[in-house]
Amino acid sequence: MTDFAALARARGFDIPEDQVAGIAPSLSALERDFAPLKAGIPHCLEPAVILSEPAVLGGTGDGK
Amino acid sequence: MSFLSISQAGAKLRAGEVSAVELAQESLRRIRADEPRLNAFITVTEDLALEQARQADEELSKGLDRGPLHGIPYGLKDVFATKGIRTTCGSKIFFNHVPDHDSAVYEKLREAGAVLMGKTGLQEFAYGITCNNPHFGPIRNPADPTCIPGGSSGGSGAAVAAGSLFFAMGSDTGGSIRIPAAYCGCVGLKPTSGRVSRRGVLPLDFSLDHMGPLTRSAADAGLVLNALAGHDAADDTSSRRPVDDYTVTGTSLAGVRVGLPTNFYGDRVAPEVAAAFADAVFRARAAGAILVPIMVPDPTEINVVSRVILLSEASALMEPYLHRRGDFGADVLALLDQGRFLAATDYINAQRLRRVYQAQWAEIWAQADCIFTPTAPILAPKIGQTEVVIDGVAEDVRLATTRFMRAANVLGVPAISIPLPSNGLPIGLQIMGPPFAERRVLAWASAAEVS
Repeated sequence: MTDFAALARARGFDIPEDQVAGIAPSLSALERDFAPLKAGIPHCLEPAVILSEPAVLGGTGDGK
Repeated sequence: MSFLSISQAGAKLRAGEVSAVELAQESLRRIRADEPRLNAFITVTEDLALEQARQADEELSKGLDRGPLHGIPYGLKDVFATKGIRTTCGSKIFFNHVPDHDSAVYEKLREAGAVLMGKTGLQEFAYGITCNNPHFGPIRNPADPTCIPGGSSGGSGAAVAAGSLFFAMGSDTGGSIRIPAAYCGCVGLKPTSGRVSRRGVLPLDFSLDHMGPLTRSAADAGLVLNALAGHDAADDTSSRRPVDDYTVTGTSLAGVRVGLPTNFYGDRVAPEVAAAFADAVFRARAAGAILVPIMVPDPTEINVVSRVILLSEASALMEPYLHRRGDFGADVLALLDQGRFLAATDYINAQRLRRVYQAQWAEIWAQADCIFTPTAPILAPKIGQTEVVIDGVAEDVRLATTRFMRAANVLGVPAISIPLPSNGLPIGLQIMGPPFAERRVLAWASAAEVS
């Protein structure tokens, strides 16, 4: 599990320690939930950074 | 007058039974009466509204009819840039920001002859769902002012549901149009990604933001979408796909394959919501819909991916202002701080996973024409409430509220919330459809309203 207080110090974030402690549980939960999802990504799959159609969204108009 | 549909108000305008100025004056009267209770507006543009209304009347008298929105009072969430009119994003950072340009949405609505009554209130930076805004005060739910209106487009939802406006524009990154629609008792449409231009909107996020209307009926949402939809060469994400006619004409659910998820969307739902949803499904079947039980790809995963993308992009966007920590509300600052800790690799992988989910959901659309779900699993929480308990499980109000809605943003598909019959606080039915199926989604929503 990431030590977010140490990470904040290392990266020089100007976030007070008590506020880092306040968000650490949410970050840890997200880290825990996201980690297993990455395992299933096909190796050559590119990111969908911009949802420009038609390649990403698919469909041929009017949802058909 | 205030609760007429756009079509009904338009018919009275064209019959000479009412003028655009009278519609605007009535809207202003209701805004003045409701503001002490609701706090739905950041700026009321009274002089501009009366000027635009006078112009609308003059044009109609000369035979120039700009269409169904001509002379119709509306509001813009205070993220849409309006030249010369303060656009705050509900924030202290942009408290005195006066744009030197108009958003594409405002341009199109002005071209359609609609009358701008004001800029509606929102969650700070549209980042959250309570609309308990530390800089402009809490926005209140017209159905019960002790409750939140939902957000982030809470002022738009409250004003439309209260009858102050015929429609209002919102933005939706993880449910921010559909949540206030569900909690306040009106209609909220999040169109397909790229269907409505985002140019000139102060963004929360690059990948998940969508612009759409809040109205009092699906038919009205179609009329507004007619004015908004279309390619905008100045918006890289704008679709070149031909625009449909979104006017709702015949409405029927007969033969429509309505997908009913057998997983996820029935988990931890408040009893009132579950009962209203079951009734809606019963009525849909009675109206001839073919109910199709469907196991959907786990939206829990999509929600996780949505949060990684949103936290990363919002923090990147707001980075230039993060040294002004005292100028942010505590809830928004906590989210912006979280985004700074995420790894770039996680962000990229979240964007790759989005493609995986889009491919999986493409198979869903082969099995069903649309998906019915409750919009939110809970009723509008009280102002200041941070946690909700359902089935013995405590859940953060924001995460519970958005649980059923984030998928449509990650997938980019259209989704609409319509009010269900309720004896208490409003409850929403969400209808999702395939990409660019707004015409059909609106027709089905209209049929579900009357079934």
